[in-house]
Amino acid sequence: MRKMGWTSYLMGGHLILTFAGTLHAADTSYIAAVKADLAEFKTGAFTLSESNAWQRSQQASESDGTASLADFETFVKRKFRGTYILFTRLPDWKKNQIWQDYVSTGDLGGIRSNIYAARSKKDTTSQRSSLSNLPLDF
Amino acid sequence: MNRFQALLGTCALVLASGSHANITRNLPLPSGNIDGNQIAQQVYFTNHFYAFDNFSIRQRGRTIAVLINRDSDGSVSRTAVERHLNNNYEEKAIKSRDLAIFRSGKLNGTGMLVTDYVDEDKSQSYMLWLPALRKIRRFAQPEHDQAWGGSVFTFGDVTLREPEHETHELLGVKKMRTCLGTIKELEAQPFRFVDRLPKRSCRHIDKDVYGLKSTTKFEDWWYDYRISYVDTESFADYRTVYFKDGEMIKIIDRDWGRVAESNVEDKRALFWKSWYGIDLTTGRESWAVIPQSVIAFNSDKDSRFWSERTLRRIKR
Repeated sequence: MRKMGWTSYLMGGHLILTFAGTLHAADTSYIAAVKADLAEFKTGAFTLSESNAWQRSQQASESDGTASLADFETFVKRKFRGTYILFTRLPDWKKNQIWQDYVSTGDLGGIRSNIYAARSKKDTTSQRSSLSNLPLDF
Repeated sequence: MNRFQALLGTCALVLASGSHANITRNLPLPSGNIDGNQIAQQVYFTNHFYAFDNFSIRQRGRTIAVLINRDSDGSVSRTAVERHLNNNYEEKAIKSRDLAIFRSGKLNGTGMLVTDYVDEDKSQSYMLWLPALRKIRRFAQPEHDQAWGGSVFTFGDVTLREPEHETHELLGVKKMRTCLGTIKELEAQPFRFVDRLPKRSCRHIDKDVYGLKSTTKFEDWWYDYRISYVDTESFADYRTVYFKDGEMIKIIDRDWGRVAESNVEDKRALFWKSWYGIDLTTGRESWAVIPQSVIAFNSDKDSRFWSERTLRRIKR
């Protein structure tokens, strides 16, 4: 059995001596979800109660905006009402870029700053700076 | 029991350097058919941040990474930690250096510098700055199965376990189906150091993951085998489930993020957003949360930052 050595004495941790094989009060729905997920490697099928809160269908009531671009638009509208107005004015490829960035990083703060960046003069300048010998008002 | 040694344990989650696996920063992405050993090597690469020259989890204003431990009786403890890793050493002897600094509680001001050497026969060097004594102490490498910081993670889980310590078998590829774990009572709650704790992460659902079964080579070990869910593109290991005598005994979930606007093209250039672990034999839970705003990578910090001098200058 794993040692609960001296490290447990610090950091406000407590020495735990109860190593019996009993299952303590964990979130049973989480454990059930993990077991169902794991079983799919053997059975090839994923079966879990629809009421289990650890699967996406149960998160749908409050979407996290990762499912699709349309879902992301709804999410931005709900979370950042003001910024959403700017978002709707962006071209589709920029919307898609911001959505992809959010999906990969999960950074809520990044949504707002990315939308501002996509709308800002800075963004235009940085695009222009890749070209040479063009007037500033190009 | 050595009180000073105990301090080492608290650093492990944020110290993912140090080990002697024969895996270097030049490890290429696999092509064609991939086997269990190759996946294990890639997971090791990702978890040790080899895609970055240097990588920091710093303090930014009042925001900093925090480790939360929840006992089965519901009592909660927390610790704020800062961490800086340097993989970019031109010296042939040193592979990486990792500096951790505690920023809260009784350990406030304590620092630890871990040096990992290229020579596989040379063990890691651990230097610990003890602010109360204003002295540096050196220690040997801790045991793999040693719990750290009162958490459910072991040194093996977070840093010391190498691919060659286990045999690896690819179980197949499937979709990730469920959200990553959190301490349910604390989910999305306001919390010191991180402003507000995150909600459970369901971002990785429907991503393709390898099932990797890793059986330990150690005798009479605390687990027989573990099954990991490994992203087929980035090799981020989202979940690991441990088994002993056929029973599930522990789960560790890791939420990963990709560095935004990165000039690091490597798909394995990822960072930890959180670690969640539950020991099913005790009911204890641990949750480390790393806000994205405190992440910095490939900065122009001089290599001399990772030195005894920095340890001695830590303010309490």
